[in-house]
Amino acid sequence: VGRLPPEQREVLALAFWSGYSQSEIAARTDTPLGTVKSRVRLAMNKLRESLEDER
Amino acid sequence: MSQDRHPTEDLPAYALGVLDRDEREVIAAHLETCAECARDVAQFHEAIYDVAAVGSAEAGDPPRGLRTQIVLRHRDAPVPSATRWGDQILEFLLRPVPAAVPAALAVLLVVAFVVVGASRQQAGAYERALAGVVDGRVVALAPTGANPDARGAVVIPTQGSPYLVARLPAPPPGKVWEAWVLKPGASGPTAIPAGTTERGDVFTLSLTVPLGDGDGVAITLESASGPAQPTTQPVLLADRT
Repeated sequence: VGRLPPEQREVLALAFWSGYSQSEIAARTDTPLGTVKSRVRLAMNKLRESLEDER
Repeated sequence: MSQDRHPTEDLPAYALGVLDRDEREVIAAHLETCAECARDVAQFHEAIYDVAAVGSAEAGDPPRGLRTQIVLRHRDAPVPSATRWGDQILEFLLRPVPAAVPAALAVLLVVAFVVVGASRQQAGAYERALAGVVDGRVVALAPTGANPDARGAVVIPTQGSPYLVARLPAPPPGKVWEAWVLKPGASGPTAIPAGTTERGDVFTLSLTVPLGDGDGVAITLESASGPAQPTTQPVLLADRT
């Protein structure tokens, strides 16, 4: 997770720690919803790839 | 949604639990008939679970007071509607975890909450209630499927009695939300009544039973008379704290 770009870590943190939905994250961070969705998608794909690499 | 239109781009968000209710329902319906997408979601769940296992503090700074919280969002399948609540709890507790998760995770299993369809005002009140915890441990309760919009956490202060912070709708007339402390046993957990409330929205509820190391906590909807044992499946559950 530490290797993710800060903006991707941010959306993960808001999801993990606060349980916000994408639209709520977008509102709280004043970020377009499409950008939040993209960050979630990229971050999660990287996490999955990282997990596969470790196996 | 037909099977030839896979919602590939939304699967990571679905697994993370950050879709809004209508989006989630569309994906959930698709997953019931698409093994390929279900497999992808399972892989995303496992990735989330693995991150939680190795320490999700790296995911960023949590809200103040939530420093010990770890996320487990792997057990999102609805609790089956069995008639015996004890069987349901036992099944939940015995559900296998991915092999990648180290045994050390048993120290603390915390389940992330799902915020779907809730007003931002309520979410804010809930977050503020938890953010006010400055000295203690916070263990999130998992929505079990009976009420996917429910949120709750056990606050275990360094000093003083543990209490619940929950966001639930007001119970119907004649009903209460009842908290239970789950004491582990050889044949399954024993549920001990630990307080009731008729309140709804965001509320706190002090546990009237001491919370031992590793005990679980659950909240069920019960009659106002307060039965000695749970009669409905839990809306929120932590198999251990």
